[in-house]
Amino acid sequence: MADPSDQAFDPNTFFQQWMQSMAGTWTGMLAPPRRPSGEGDASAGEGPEAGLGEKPGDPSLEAALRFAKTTAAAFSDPGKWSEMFSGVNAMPHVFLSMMQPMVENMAGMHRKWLEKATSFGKLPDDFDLGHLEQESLAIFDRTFDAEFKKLLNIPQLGPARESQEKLNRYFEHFNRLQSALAGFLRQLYGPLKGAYEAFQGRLADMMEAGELPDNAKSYYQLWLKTLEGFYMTKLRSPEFLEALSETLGAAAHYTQSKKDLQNDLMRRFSLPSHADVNALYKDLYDVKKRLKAIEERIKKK
Amino acid sequence: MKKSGVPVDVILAKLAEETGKTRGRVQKASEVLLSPLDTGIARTPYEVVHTEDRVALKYYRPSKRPAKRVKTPLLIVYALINRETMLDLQPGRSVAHTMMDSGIDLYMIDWGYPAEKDKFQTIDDHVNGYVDTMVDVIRKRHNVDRINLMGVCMGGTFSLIYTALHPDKIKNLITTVTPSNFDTDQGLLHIWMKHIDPGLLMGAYGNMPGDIMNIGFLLLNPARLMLDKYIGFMENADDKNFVENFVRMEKWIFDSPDVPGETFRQFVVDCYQKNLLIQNQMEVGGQLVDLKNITVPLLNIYGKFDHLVPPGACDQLTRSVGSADVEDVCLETGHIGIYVSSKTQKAFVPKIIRWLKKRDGK
Repeated sequence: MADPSDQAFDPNTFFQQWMQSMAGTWTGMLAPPRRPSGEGDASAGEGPEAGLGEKPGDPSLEAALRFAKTTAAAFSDPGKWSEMFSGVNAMPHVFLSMMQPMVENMAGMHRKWLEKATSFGKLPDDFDLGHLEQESLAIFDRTFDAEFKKLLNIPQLGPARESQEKLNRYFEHFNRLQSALAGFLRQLYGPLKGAYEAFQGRLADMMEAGELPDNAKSYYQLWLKTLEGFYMTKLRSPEFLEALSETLGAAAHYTQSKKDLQNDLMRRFSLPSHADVNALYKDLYDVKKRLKAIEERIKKK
Repeated sequence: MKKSGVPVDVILAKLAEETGKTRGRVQKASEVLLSPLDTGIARTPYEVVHTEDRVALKYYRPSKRPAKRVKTPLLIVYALINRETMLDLQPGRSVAHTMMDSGIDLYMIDWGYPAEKDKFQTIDDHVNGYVDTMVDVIRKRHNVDRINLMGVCMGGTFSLIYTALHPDKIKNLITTVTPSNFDTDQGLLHIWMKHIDPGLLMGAYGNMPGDIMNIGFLLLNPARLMLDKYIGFMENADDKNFVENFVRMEKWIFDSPDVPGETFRQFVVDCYQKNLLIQNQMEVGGQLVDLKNITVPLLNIYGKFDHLVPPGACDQLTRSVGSADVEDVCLETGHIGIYVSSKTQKAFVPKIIRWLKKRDGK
């Protein structure tokens, strides 16, 4: 008797045999269950499992088993098996074609991430570090626009898209408000600095002229008047007006985005949102106005 | 011979003297601040004779009725910004009390505190709605066809619009610190208002928040209003009378109702940004407001140092109305001082009473 290990392994034969046995197994599983011997028709129609043998089982399970049986039967055909394996030679090429763009994309993303990570904090050439006080807010704004804003504007997908977009808008407007407020406060700080410098100069002039006042209150009044003058100039300057307009706008956008977010949350909890109450107020206003007009018409008749 | 250099010895001597005085003042100030203070405002008695929504009509019944008194009742229309309590801020300096004492039947509109639901209310709702209702109530109560009308600041603008649209109901018109020409660069407010987007603000806030407006008013003169004012308080904190009046003023200044959103938007756009009123191009409730329709006697009072409604915003009015009997009075004071300063109290209310008396029988 020849040693089975000496025989050359034929995958086709092995697979064919295995598939035939699998097809047999699935066929067996699909067959209706046999009744135990000794049980007669007397039990039919009685008890919770009555009629189990006659009725089909779970249709989903049955369909799945039938699909497995058909597949196993199909693959037990040696011709089909050979046909399938004949394409194996083409596999490396297919895999390569699929993997190449994926690897390229991954490498590209890594390269971009690295570029961003290394460029973070680097200033474009047009920033003037000699005027950091003025430029710091511009740097913040540009950094926000270049690095963070686009992350907040990535298109959102799926059922939570709208909520996520609102949340992103809220974060964006919050940052804008912080930046605008900082700019606005810087405008208000300007006159303090200017008045201090001018006050020093005025004191120097007075000292030279021997006209320095001898009481503290006069110094305070002089400084206050100087400060007031600087503010009067600043508060009507184009840069202040721009900062004022920007800050009020940023505060309004932030408040609106916060309300949008709150409205969304309220709706989720089935509570009347700000927008709902708003609509109700408008209806109330219109109804009162119409009522008043009707009253006037009746009075005149 | 001129002194040269820093008079260090004199300054140090003064400082030493001041330190001693300050110690005594701080001690007395703490006693004043811990003692019971009378800081109540709007003490003159009144009764509410009519209410509509949040708006109330206050009536100050004259305490005496002299024979030579103004018989026509007077309605004061206050601004929607801050409260009418400013006209009755402290004893001895109360416009309401002085008028009541002179025998005038005085009425005042209390606009109340607009809520979120009031944000849709327009200038039309205020002028042709509330003001007209209150005028009719007074006419009916006193059985007269026409009443005297006095406006304060934005309330003055409302009074102008009202008189132009309902000339048959008004006998004499008094405008005090009332903006009618908004195209002026004299006041910061006039400049700032051209740079804001009221529609955006209303979309976000509904009504214009009183707190935001307060910050704006403080920013009109930060050195004086945010710094010097409180330094002045510290310097005078040992004076009980000063402290009480200071606290009264603080109470009034920061008692700032929100302004109904749509009214604020319309006022900013039509008046501050387009300056339609003085050009007779403003529309209220679908009607064109023509200032030439104002043919009743007009007394126009404003402050020379008013930083909110500067003279340039007020002094074109008498030339723009259709009245033959007009008078401008420019007082040497500011926006609030016109009503509360002891100096102008002697000039302001007596002038109004005299002017009204002269035209009462006509």
